[in-house]
Amino acid sequence: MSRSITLGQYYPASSVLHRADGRMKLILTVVFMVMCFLCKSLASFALLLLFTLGLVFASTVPLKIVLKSVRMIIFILIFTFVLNIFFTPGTGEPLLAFWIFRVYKDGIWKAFFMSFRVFCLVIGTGLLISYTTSPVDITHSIESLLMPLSKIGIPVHSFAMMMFIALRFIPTLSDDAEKIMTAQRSRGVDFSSGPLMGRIRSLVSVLIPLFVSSFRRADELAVAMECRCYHGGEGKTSLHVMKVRFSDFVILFVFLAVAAGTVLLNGIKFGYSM
Amino acid sequence: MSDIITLENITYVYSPGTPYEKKALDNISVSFEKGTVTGIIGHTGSGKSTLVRLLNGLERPSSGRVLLDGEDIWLKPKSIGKIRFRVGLVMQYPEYQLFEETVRKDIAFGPKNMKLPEDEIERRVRETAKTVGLSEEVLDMAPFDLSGGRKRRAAIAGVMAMTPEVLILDEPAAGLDPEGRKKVFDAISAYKEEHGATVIIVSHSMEDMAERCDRLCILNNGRIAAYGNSGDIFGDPSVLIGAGLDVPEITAVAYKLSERGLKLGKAVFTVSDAAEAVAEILKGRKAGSDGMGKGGFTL
Repeated sequence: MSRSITLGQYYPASSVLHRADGRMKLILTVVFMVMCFLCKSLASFALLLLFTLGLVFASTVPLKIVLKSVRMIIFILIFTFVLNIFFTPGTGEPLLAFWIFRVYKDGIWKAFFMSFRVFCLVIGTGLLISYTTSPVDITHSIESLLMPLSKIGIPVHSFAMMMFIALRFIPTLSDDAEKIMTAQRSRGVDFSSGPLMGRIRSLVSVLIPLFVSSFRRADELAVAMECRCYHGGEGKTSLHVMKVRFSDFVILFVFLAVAAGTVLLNGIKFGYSM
Repeated sequence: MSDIITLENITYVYSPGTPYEKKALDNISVSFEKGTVTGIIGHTGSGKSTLVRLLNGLERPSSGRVLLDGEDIWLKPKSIGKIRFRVGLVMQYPEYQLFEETVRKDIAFGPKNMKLPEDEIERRVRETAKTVGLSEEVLDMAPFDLSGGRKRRAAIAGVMAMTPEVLILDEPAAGLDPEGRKKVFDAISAYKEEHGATVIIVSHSMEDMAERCDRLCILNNGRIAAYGNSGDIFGDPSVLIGAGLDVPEITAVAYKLSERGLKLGKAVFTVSDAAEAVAEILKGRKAGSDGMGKGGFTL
């Protein structure tokens, strides 16, 4: 039986970050990314870590769930770390040398900094977008931010509508797939065991009906939209009007202040700086 | 008569240990007699679908046993697939599972999965096509070119071709016109006659159920609200109404009448039944007997 499918990682709550305007959050994400790459000294990295933790706190998303997203990129983190350790050219005597690899003190620092950057980047952008903004809101925000492009003839609204429909139909189609699979299992198909070729062939019995049903649904949706006189974005008003509030500007100000802080802290040479 | 399928103290919990945990069935025990037609009725979310999925081993009960011919179907979980050949399940809107190029191939899909010899498969395809009333030329058409009613019957034939001893159908007539409905139910009766099979039908439609089922099982909130002969169950609509179900309008009228003292003699499900019963009473009154009785009933 299908369980309620949560799309992406959205964590429903009503924190400051949840309530912030989606477009502002997209912009903040860019600011945050830049901030991550501006950090060059131990002091500024400390500020970045503190700020990231502050974001976790402000979003009210449990730390356990946030760290889950890190688990998915653990391989990338290790890869970044190892690559930087071995391939950072340094000055002075290498700490370790074998075959073509030379490990310098600089390399260890850099490896540490780089992985830490990616770590903060994933948590920060995740908190600003995936955890606190519903997929529908993200689509709305992207549409709104890209709207100026429609002036030069790019069909922004159509793209947004396509994204909407795709998002909307993910749960529906996965429901359909589930139903068809049960039906075929009732007719003796075994999806989980047996020879590989047989299992691939048995997938055909799911894919064809699923294909047919998605075409049928597309057709029905098109008719339903026509019946409601849908004609594209021209003059269409939205049910949810997005509004940038004063609090959004306060959040933007905090982000910019922290970004400025990291740049200033880059001046404090302590330990190692890039 | 003996029981073919028995559920023993079945409890089924969805997503245990998560916030979405939900008890779909709560300690249910019920037996289905060989050769009967049993209707399972319940409103949305009463546990009907879960119940039928348990019967052919699509779901494993959280606790309790499912017995087929006295044997626990989960004794050897590896061979649960064989149970599905003996207990055939036709899902809701089964036409969406059709996928082969021809109706013939699609009906043959189940028997082929049973690894039957070619000629036996061919024989079964022709036989079930006849049972559900599809002609030879339809067999060579693409399933997507058929009308809704024919598609439905082709899909049902796909399950019947496995000749299950127990045939379970979830809302077999949903969304069909009266003629389509009749053909579907005729096909089910024909299959039952030919194979002496046990049939279990899940439905919302009281009218369909009243006419065709020997037994009725009313589910409400994961428990059995009532189980018995359909006449008895419909004779006391309070159970049905208590389970949040609609009874046939004419049955409700008869029930209201009996509450006011006018007993129609037997439970009625159709308007013609009711007309007969009323005529019976009127005849009695004309004959000069008690007539309306001393209850002082007035309309």
